[in-house]
Amino acid sequence: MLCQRCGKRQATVFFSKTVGNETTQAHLCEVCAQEQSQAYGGLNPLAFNPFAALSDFLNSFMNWNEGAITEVNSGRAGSVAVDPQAQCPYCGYQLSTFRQNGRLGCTKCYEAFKGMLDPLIASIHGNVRHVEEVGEEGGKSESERVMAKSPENPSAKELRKKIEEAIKAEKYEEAARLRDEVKKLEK
Amino acid sequence: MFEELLTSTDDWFLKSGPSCEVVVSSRLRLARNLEGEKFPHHANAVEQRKAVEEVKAAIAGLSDAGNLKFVRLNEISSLDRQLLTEHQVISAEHAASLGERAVAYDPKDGLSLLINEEDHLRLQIFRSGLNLREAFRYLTRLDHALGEKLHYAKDPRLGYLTACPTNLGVALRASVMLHLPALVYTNRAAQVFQGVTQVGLTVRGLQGETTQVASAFFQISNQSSMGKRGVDIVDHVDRTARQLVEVELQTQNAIFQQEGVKLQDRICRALGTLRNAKIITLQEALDGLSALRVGVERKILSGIDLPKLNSLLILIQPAHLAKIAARELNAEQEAMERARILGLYLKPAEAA
Repeated sequence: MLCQRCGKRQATVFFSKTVGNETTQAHLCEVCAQEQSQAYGGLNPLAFNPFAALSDFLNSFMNWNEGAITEVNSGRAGSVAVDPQAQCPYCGYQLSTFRQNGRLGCTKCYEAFKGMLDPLIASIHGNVRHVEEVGEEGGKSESERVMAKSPENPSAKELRKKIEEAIKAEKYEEAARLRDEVKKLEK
Repeated sequence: MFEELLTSTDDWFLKSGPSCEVVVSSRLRLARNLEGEKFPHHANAVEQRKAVEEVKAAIAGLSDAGNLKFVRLNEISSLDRQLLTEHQVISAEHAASLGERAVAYDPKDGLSLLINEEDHLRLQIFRSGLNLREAFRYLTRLDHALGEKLHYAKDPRLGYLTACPTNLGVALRASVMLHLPALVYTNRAAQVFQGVTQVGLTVRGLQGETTQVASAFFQISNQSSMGKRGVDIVDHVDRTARQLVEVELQTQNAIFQQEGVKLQDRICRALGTLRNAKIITLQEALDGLSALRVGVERKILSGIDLPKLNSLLILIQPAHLAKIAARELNAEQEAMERARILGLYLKPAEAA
């Protein structure tokens, strides 16, 4: 199905607007849906409660599937639901299947269903981008970097002394922790 | 097939690792997919086969490929698949799914390369005790080597593209299996787990994903791996696990000070039951082994060690018992075989 607004792109978003008693509905492409949603205060209409668990997301997908429209963001004038008939042009996967099993059809589905998936992904992971690993072996962790920078960072020699003291005091857990720190320093 | 898994003496879980008095094992898993291909659950047999062959060829080119055993899961019996699941070589989902799927594994190294599980390739590594950092360096090296041969699907914004959007980003899950009997005994586990959840980690029961919480064995792992580097995820899980170790040991010290004899009694009775029972369920055996772990760790018991108890956790599972008995077992026969194995392994154990 093509977008009812621009008539050019594949419609992947089902848009519904309720003003008073009058409801208007439209199948839109991702671009048009984004533009339409900005008319409602720029809020992304697909953004749910970011703290809910994944099962809640998938359940809300199920709800969308059952009725034509379910108010996703209650208390708002407009709500948007996703067209369950939308298909990935690369692998033929249907969004309705994703709603059932939480899995996509191919690596290109992320591109095909971008408009619907992006808010979902932001809800699961927070509003963040992927961060590259650094270095062949994954690099140093945040705490290791902090430790290396800190001027009061104790030397391996001092730590060894502390280990001996901890062992004498039978604080073996503390000794084990210190030993790990020495190992880290020596790397 | 796979009889060697029943008698091996150098599997990863037979080694003792850091903090092994509380931490049973550490596990890391990376999810990778082939660019432009259908995910395994949506692919047809030909497409699945193609993914298996492509990944298999890449694995064959690894420098340590010689230690890896390659098995096509659709060509072995369901009992053997269950055995591999219990042995932590494959996941329950991998064992149960249909179609062309395979694994390349090395139990000594705790390494499994799962082909066509939920994703085209999952790299999984186990370590005894709390050992995520070393495991991460090892797995990252392996991932880089395979990434040079395979065209991983990756998006600059979303990271590695995975069948389920929950795994995006660096697509890493870092888990630690902990034994927390004192927290359970003092009814503090729920409260402590609430704290673990608040720092963005998940708590699960003994065998991960779907099973119920069994005895005092719990697994903590990261929920999301997007917007973070793997090394920081590992660091976060590792630090949380260390805190749990500390809280558990403190609680143990406190309860042993207050009611030491009562707890010793429980541990020694558990030894008596596990060593002398003739019929025993998996749940009762796990509860008993939980008590024995405390006994060994606090030097109340001698003649057995933690690696041996680790191996019992695996050997008393249904498919292992059927393999040991070399025949199919009904529920009662299985419970009898379990009691026999426990009796055999615990013979040298005694109250110190």
